[in-house]
Amino acid sequence: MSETAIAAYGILTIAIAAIQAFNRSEAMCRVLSWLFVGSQVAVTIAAYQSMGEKPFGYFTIDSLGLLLMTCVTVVSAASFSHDRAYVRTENGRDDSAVRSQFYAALTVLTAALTYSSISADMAVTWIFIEITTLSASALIFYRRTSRAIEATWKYVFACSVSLVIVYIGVLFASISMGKSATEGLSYETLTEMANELDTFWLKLSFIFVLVGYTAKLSLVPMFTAGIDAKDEAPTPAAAVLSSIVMNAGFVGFYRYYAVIAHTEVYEWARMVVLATGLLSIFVAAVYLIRVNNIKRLFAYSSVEHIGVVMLGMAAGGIGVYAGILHLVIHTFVKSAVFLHVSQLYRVFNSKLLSNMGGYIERCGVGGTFVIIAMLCVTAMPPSGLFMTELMIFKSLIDVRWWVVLGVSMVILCTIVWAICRDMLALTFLREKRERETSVTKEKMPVVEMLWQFALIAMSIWLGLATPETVSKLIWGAAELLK
Amino acid sequence: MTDILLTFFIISLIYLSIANRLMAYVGNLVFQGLLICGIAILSLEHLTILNLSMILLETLVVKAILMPFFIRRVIISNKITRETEPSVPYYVSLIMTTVFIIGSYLIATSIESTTLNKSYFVAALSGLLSGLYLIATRRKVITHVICYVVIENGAFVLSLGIGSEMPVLVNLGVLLDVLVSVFLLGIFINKVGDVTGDGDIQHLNMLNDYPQTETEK
Repeated sequence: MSETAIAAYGILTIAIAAIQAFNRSEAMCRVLSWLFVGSQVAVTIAAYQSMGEKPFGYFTIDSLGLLLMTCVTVVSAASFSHDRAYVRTENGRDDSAVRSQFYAALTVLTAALTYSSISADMAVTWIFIEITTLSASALIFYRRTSRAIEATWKYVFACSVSLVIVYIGVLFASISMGKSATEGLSYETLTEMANELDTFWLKLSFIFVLVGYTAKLSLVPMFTAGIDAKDEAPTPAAAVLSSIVMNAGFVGFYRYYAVIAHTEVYEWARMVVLATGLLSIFVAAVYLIRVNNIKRLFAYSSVEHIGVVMLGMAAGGIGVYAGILHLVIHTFVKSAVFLHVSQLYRVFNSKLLSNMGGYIERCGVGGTFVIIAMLCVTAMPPSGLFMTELMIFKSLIDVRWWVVLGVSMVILCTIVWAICRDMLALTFLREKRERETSVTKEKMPVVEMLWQFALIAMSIWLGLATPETVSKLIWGAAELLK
Repeated sequence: MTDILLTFFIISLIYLSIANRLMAYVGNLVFQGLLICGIAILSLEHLTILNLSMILLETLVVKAILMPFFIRRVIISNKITRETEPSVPYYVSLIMTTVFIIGSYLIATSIESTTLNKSYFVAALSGLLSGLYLIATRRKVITHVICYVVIENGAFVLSLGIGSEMPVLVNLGVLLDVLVSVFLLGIFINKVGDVTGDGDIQHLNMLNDYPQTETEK
């Protein structure tokens, strides 16, 4: 069942993307996009029905895969429903070729993310994440301006180099396996051989894999390329880049971390993950205090949240469960927030915070959304992220990492202050803005409004009353570490 | 025999650190592609048709012919000036590359492993480190692409140095990575050239965190 569904989905994706790339009609591209979203929903349902199967030996339909696949489906549907408004309002020129490429690239990116979330082999994960780099670069290049070229160039180059680093990590993993690497590098085989793996090469391999995937995960040290990309990509693409693309990096990291958890280098790996997490939160705070571009502000906030997830991963226990839930909730919050930036751009015609102010007077619904989003992004109640951060702090107390707890809490408070300062000024403050334009009211398109509020509502609901199905899936994913 | 080829690979890295013409870099890529082809064929235990054709495709066709040809065309069509314009003197690069090679040798001798061939490890690690170093110290975008290929070559030598053969899937993945990245980067050089006039990395500095004015959306 699952093999047929996965193969059919792949063939359909290739066909749809090919037609979209060469077809110049907007209507056709849109119809095909929704056909693709339909197939995305269908393959997700098929995956739920075939839980536990291992299609083609290279994929596995497990809890983590299902969870992240569902995130991909929801966020991609939201992005596809924003692109029409986007293509019409923000692209003044009639560039049908550019538009076609946009649709095709978004289709390929979504499919690659779906496959990477259920991959069961290090090499397969690596290949699909490589495809996400290529398709994402087409999206970042959308505007064809010199800034877009710069962002794309940096993204492609940094991701290519980081994927070479991951490749070297894979090679080291195969050295640690000894002669049996010919059997392939499936996570299952690696876990079964956990006790026979050479610790020196395993440590080296973990460092390389982690550093390599940080480019996708937006973690220290390779986070910079992702920030530029999210800044320059059109909002539907930025929403994807700052949510489900980061999840793809997480899959690459977490599945290998789960292998490491069965070996004797686990304690050492936890310290490495902890250091990366703490450093990421710190770096995010430093940038957030002074950043003047709303897209970069949210991009750095992602660095912070993934840092928090890493703290949970390092602490273990309830921290792993909370970390994965945090990642899922962050996916919905951040995609909603990035999608809303297109509305902000329509109102202020700028991305700079110093040009924005008095938003609630110009767009009441938008202003309300920004306030709710501010609470959610900064993990204040009723945000779902508040619950997960609380659990992560609890896990830090459980392992008695008092210093880590204290330092991270201080840094997080600074981040809350920085984001609230900017968001409140954007919504209420009309004086002292650099560019004061006449107050014209701008209504928010109903479809966009529904999607953005739905995503935010989903994130709150997931945190406050996690449904049993989701909870089971997260526990299943956390079990991989045991 | 493989040791001789690996030594030549290391010598090519030293040459790369002091070469001041872009075409010398391209010629070096061809040379490295041929070397890697030789090393790959010599280090294969079971030479089957499938193995041989994969290796010939990966090394000879892609690394020694297609990519240098493509990079050469990009250089000519974009009228990129032929100097490599390093931001540090050549002798510093020479010293650094030598340090990388000696360092790799020292690391290799301190490792105890039965699965890894140490001379491969030295060549691979030197390739990786000098590739990264050259990226950091050269100003032209096209030089960065060439050095990226050098890093890829280093990674390929490392994969050969592992006693057991890597799964075909991994090789295919690498091939995809190298091919697409280089072509994609090549296409972008055209675009970067359109904007900046020359392929100088210094022009790519518009994106930062504290813009005072907004020149474009």
